[in-house]
Amino acid sequence: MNARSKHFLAHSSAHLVLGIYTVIALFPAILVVINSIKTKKFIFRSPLSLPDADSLYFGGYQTVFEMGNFPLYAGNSMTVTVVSIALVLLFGAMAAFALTEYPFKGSRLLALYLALGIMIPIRLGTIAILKMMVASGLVNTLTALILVYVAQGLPLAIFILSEFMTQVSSDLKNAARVDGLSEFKIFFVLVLPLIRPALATVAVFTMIPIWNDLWFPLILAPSEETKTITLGAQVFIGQFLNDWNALLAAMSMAIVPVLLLYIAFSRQLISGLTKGAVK
Amino acid sequence: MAQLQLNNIVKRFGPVEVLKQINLHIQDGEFVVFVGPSGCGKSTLLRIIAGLETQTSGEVRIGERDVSDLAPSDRGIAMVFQSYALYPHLSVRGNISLGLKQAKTPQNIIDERVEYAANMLALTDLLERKPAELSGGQRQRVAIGRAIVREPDVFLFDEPLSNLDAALRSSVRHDLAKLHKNLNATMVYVTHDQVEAMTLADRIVVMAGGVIQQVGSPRELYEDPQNRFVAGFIGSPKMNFVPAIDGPNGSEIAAEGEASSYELGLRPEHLSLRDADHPEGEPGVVQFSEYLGSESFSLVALDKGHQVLVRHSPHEIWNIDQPVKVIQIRDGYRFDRDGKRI
Ligand SMILES: Nc1ncnc2c1ncn2[C@@H]1O[C@H](COP(=O)(O)OP(=O)(O)OP(=O)(O)O)[C@@H](O)[C@H]1O
Ligand SMILES: [Mg+2]
Repeated sequence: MNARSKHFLAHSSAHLVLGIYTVIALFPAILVVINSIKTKKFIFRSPLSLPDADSLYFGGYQTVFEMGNFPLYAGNSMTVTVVSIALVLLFGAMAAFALTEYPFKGSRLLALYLALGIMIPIRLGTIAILKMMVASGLVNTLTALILVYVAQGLPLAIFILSEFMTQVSSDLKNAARVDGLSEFKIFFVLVLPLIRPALATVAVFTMIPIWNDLWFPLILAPSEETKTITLGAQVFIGQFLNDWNALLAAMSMAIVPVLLLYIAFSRQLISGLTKGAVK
Repeated sequence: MAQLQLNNIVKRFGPVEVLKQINLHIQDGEFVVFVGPSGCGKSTLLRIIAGLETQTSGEVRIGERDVSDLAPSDRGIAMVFQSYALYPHLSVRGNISLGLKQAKTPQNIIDERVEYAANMLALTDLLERKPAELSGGQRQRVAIGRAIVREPDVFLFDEPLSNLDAALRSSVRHDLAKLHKNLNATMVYVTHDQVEAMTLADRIVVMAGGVIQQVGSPRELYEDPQNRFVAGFIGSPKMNFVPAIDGPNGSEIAAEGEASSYELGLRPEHLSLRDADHPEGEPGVVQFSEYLGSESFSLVALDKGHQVLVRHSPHEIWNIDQPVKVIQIRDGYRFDRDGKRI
């Protein structure tokens, strides 16, 4: 076997593995979307078949829009997710910068302490959190959710961003200091743009668990005005136990915003990477 | 422009003392080069002058001011880094003018100075480009331009040429020499490169282990080194060191394992080769010979057990394993057991 065909083989087998993984990962999502536009009869009779003239049915979407408070739920989810990501990125990057740029006594220990949260699930503290929220009157507000999610996202953000911060050339920061830039400007104008790929990575890692979370919305903000989309869809299960169309339609629509966010971040990821390669 | 004074500078990183009582007075307009082995504290000292690192104790004075507690931008210095350190998101013009903008300099003065610096460094056509679109040499010239427009009292350079290839390095080196002449500025320059040090410096500061070993003009250091370290560090190829004793006609090389009273330092050009039947000189055997065009070097294993490198004319041809005699055409340097010159 010559080198070229060997190379081709290695290449295509890698693609085969990736392809299989993609199919496995996408299968449930696609199944949900396909079945959301089929009549109930066909959902059960042939769940894997594509919709055709016989089975095509948009009634589920109609029900969701008529019966549920769907746009409100989606808006709540979006608000909570976007604000949480923004705060996690801002505070995470600031903490990472301080920990890597200004080593002080105990900074290692502090970094370790902040990273500890990666291994300890925040749900263990649910009762204490609920008590705190009740005491501060934040139950049934989006603020409660945002606060919890920021706390949940920060450990990983600090951990990943610290790693990238140390790679930003110290000569560059020093040159800026000689030129008279303040530490704030160095952070916002020089360092943040250079670690954009890391920020995008953190944003994606932070976003998914927040968007999908059912636990904290159920406990901290179950009121009608503050329901998130996952909680909203759960309510469909209870109310319309037999109406699979509505449930599938709600779930399909829940995928879209998060997909858009992901595409936005992954753009950043790629442009950040190529920019780094040029420098 | 101004003089620069370092008084009793000490720097510790935890328990490690990296700089030990550095005292140095640099005159107005002087070009001073720091040399020394890797890790001896050259960059640390330069960063302390710049204010990017705080000294554990001691004082930095620029001009008449004690700047020890001032921020880098308030010290009247500009610094050029080894890695260029250009702002990736700004054009060449933006890079050069950022410091001035930060200091709220009027726009017409900024334009004037940028133009002046761009002219001097042949950057005029590149002003609107981004750093990513420049070659290494151009990037380093932008970094130098960024320093010029600040019109600093003292220029600081940390190995500014070490990322460039050999041809570019000598051309930017000439630019720097010209720049120094034009601006008549005080400059402090760190390098590993002997040629840069010898050609650029008014005075060279040789450092080792956080201590200044000797300060002097290139000629002084080469011809009158005060200790064994400086003698071995300045000059390429290195000085030969052999143990020696006083004999009837001056120093005599001591054989390996024999008692010696001091060490003799002999530069390759202070030695010469003769045929084996020559009446004087140390007998030995040629190990190898290197022809460099304008000169040649031969390594000779002396019968007394030491090896010495000898510089000779490229027209003299000595073969491997040929027996020869090595003669001294100039007195060597003598160093005592502590490495001090005697
Ligand atoms: N931030 C720091 N923390 C601890 N030690 C440091 C720090 N910076 C430098 N050092 C130590 O100080 C010593 C001097 O470093 P410095 O960078 O000044 O050396 P240098 O002479 O510039 O070497 P080179 O020629 O390799 O650039 C080194 O031993 C280095 O390990
Ligand atoms: Mg250095």
